[in-house]
Amino acid sequence: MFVTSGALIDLFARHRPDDTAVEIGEQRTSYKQLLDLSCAIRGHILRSPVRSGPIVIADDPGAGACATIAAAQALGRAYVPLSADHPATRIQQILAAVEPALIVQSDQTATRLAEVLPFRYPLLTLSRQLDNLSWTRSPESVVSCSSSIGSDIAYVMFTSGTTGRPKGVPVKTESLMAYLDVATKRFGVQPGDRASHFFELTFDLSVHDIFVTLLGGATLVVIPPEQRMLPGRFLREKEISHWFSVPSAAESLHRVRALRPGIFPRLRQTLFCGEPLRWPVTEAWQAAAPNSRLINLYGPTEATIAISYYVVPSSRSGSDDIYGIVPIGQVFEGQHGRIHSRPEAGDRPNRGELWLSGSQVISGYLDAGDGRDAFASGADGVGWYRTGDAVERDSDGMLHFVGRTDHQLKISGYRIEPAEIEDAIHRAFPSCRSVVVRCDQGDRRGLVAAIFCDEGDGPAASIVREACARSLPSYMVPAHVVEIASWPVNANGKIDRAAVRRQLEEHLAPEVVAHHGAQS
Amino acid sequence: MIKQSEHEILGTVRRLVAERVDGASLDDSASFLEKTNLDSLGVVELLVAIEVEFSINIDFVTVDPASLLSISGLTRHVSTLMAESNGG
Repeated sequence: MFVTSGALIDLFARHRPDDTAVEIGEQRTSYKQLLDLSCAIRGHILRSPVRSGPIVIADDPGAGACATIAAAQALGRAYVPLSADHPATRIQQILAAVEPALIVQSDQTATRLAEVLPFRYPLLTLSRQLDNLSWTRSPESVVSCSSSIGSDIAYVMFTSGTTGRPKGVPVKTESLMAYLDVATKRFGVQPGDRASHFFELTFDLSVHDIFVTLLGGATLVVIPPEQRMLPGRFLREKEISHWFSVPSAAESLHRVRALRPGIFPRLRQTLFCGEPLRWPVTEAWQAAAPNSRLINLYGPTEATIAISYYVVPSSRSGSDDIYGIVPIGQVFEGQHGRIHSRPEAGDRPNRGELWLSGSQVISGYLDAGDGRDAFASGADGVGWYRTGDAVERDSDGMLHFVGRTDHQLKISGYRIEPAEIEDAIHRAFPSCRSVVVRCDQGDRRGLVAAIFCDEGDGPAASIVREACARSLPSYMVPAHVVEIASWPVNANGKIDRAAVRRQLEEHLAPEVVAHHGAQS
Repeated sequence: MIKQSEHEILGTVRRLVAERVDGASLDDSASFLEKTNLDSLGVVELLVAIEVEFSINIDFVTVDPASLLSISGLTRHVSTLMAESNGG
């Protein structure tokens, strides 16, 4: 499929007009309705004195958001998704970083956002029933600043940053088109197919859900947030043929023994991305969905949705399984990956940090000051993005994810820089320092903040969590807070994160963690 | 199987939830995902603990997960399953 800018809105008109484009609960929106809605949004913006710049979408997944994204694309404007569930300070940080030309919200998110959105942006409100579109704040009534985001950008996603604030990742239209070219060819859908819309709009994998499904003329079926945790019933009842989620969703189903052989007979394609995919859950999924091919995707937001893939064979061979997890396979055709190994640090030549370049890879963050170290120039002058992911290449040339070269954590596919949480805790409690780790075993699973206070007793766990929730999205709020009696440093004076995690996982009391710190 | 009243079941569910949720006591109708420190994996672990405690099997392929996200929802579900296994 040849994909051009403005393609979505043009293609809506070429699909069968009465086919359902977007389905959410009982509400179905046809391609004809989606086209009309996109054109109405575009018309509203064109008829008003809206200055140039990106469109912020403050809406939940659904037909309204799809129509707004298509309108933004047709107008040559970037879109920036914003979650109404995120705390006010984070939303305002993102708005200040983007300076959007306007914000589009739905009447459903409007109540949550009423006291959060600054007055200086035009605000367009679309009713959830899709029958009313009107300015809540007209462009004439506001004076806004200009945006630095150019018309070559398709969307901007914000991800956790080590500097204590979210980091903007601007993805060019050219990069999105390069991705869609591969994705529609290799993982595409057709009219009549029913594809899941699992990802929130602020997660870049949602771009795949929306574009690949609507370009193919299939039906995008939105999963309600409370079903994401255990999506088995949704998959069956909604007769999903194409599934795409983080492996966590499958892990949860596997944990409660719901991946029974043959329970997803209608599933024809499964994509997983965002986290390491373990073999046991993969094999259980293959048995549960015997008619589905299964593909493991890999890619940081900086490399546009996904940049490598592995088609999982029906039975695994020895080389498939290095560390109990499914390979991330090979880099897409036309894109480039290399392993940056450091023999002086003991790296074998087939193992090291994965560096990426090509038309899918961004050249820098929205704020040029962010992550300078993340970009490197090769001897040939080619620019590379350093993923921070440690990989190993097997004898078949397949890449395997083996870990991180830094402290970045993942929870349900969300990237989390512990420094951002540690900074939020320190701001709220200046006399406390903390180490945030992810525990996978024991009673304290998930994000755990180990807190050390210079003077007096530390704040109660619930107070720490409340303070974090004021500036961080919910997936970054530590599930557990444990006070420790001394700062856990190793012989070099560095924080020993691995030791903290191990001790927390082994059910040891906080004093023991502290003892370890004092010892080393 | 020992018969338990709905009130006893409610008490046990409250205890299992309280063991996993930190902070102030939780409203019986509040959603675990919205009002507690439990994320989806934490809720799944709670559900597994509920199954073990009551010796029941929840069919997670047919049940609506939304109905299991509060103390009152869980209590209703457990009561129904226990009544079925006792009366059946």
